[in-house]
Amino acid sequence: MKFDETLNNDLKIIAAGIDSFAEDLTEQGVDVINVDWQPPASGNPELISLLQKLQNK
Amino acid sequence: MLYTNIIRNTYYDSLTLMRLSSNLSSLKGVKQAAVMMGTKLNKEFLKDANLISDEVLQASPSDVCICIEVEDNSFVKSVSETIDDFFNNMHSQKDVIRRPRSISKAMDNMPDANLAVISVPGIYAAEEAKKALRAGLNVFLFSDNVSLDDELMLKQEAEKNDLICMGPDCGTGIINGVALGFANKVHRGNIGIVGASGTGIQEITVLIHGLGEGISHAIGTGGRDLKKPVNAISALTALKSLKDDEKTKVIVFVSKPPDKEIEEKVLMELSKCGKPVIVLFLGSNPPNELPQNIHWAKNMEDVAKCAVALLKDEEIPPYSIEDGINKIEKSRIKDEIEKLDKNQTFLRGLYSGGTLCDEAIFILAEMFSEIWSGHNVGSGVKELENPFASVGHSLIDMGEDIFTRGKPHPMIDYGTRISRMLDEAEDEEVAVILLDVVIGYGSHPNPKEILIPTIKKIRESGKQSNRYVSIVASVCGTDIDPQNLEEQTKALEQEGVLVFSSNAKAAYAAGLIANKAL
Repeated sequence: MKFDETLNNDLKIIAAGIDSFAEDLTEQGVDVINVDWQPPASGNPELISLLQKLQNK
Repeated sequence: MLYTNIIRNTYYDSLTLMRLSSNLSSLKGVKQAAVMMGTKLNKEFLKDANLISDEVLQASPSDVCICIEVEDNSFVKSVSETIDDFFNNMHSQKDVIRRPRSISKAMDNMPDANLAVISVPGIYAAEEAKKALRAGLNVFLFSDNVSLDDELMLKQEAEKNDLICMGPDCGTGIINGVALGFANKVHRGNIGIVGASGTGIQEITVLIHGLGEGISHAIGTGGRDLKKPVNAISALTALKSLKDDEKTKVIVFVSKPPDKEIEEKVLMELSKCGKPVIVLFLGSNPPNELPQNIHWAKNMEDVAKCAVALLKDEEIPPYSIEDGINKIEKSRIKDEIEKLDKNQTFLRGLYSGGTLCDEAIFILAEMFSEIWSGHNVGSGVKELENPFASVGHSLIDMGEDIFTRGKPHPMIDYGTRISRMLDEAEDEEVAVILLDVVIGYGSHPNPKEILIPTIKKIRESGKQSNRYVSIVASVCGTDIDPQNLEEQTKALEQEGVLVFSSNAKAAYAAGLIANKAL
């Protein structure tokens, strides 16, 4: 949704990373999905770079 | 002895791990503790801290490394029980419903999502933000350590699709009354803010709230947005949106001084927005000519007062910090001065908010011929060679990287600041310690619980050496914040702390005390 339209709509949020940020949003009554985020390719830099190249193809 | 525990193939965010690290550090028999993911950078930190072992060296970036130096074997049991309790408690709190493992999977469950809040480690952040933007989401990117090239790529991608990328390194936002990241709970209203400064936005929003008005939206851009390569892409998107937003009647623009070319560009856009505007480029002088709708503010308190006056269609009142200090406050400042010895002349500012620290530096630089800072602020302010040791009148932003490597930010964990407070209070030449206490979402759940015992210690030690150290603070927060402004303020005042309603006033008052001149 365009940003200026977002300013006139209820926020619907997808959160990835620090859990307490998503918890604070839930406490504020916001509709939020907290992604169970894990580093891609177990954090292996070579594999990540390879994956990115494949995705950008 | 070193105790190491590796949890394989499990990711926890850095705040969670730092919370465990704090719990472990406070245990009896624990000399130091660090809990981190096994990345290359973290291993370097653990090596520097003498917490490295073969097991840690072999750990992968997706393994949690728990590294503790204990006095002897007898303390291992309590350490291992604390670790088990922490994770058991976390798992019992987790949703029973399986959470999606990616932003795109989450989009399947929430196809009408309009914002992604991303706070994954910096090396993964650009990729996740790119996925979110390509899925049509606006992005609030809290993560730092994102390259300038990636920042530019993300902001161009957002601009192309009429979206915004707030950040990277965006600490604060309030969109439609929703606090994002580190932000305060404030009334909704008609003042809109664009800011390349986290605690700058926090201070201005809470002061506006305190003056009885509210915020339509406060849009963070990340600190580098007003630098030349990024060209203010997010700031200009935010401005355009606030210009068209019916709820926003007055616009505030706050940041450190931008590159000259960008400043001209931003002022040009602001001049065309058709709404009253208040600009604060902290520590910077206004250009010779200002467009008619733009008011140039001196500090964040001035911003809030101007914004409220303009909103009410009132004349902007003349501003001076001095006039804002009331009779009772003046008499308390006088009392503090009288308690000091002759040789107590120095001020030490220990800050958790970067913009709050800079604001105090610029105010005090007008009161003293020499001010030292822990970081480079320009404007003739001297930079400490060693930020861990104060000299003369020193102000330290303890949220700078040098203090937070492997540790939580001082707005979350007061440990480093408390130990520095105790050290500064022992310096016989110190007259006053100046603090910011930032509350709101994201910050420490109850700072008074940590600060009061420290202040009591300082008072006790002062009694023994027959010396009094003045403590001055401002609490950046509101009456509706989870930690409650009044509760925090009252508790500090009961311990003799002079608490002011703004950082500007607190800095000025601390300057008067150190100067012993009212």
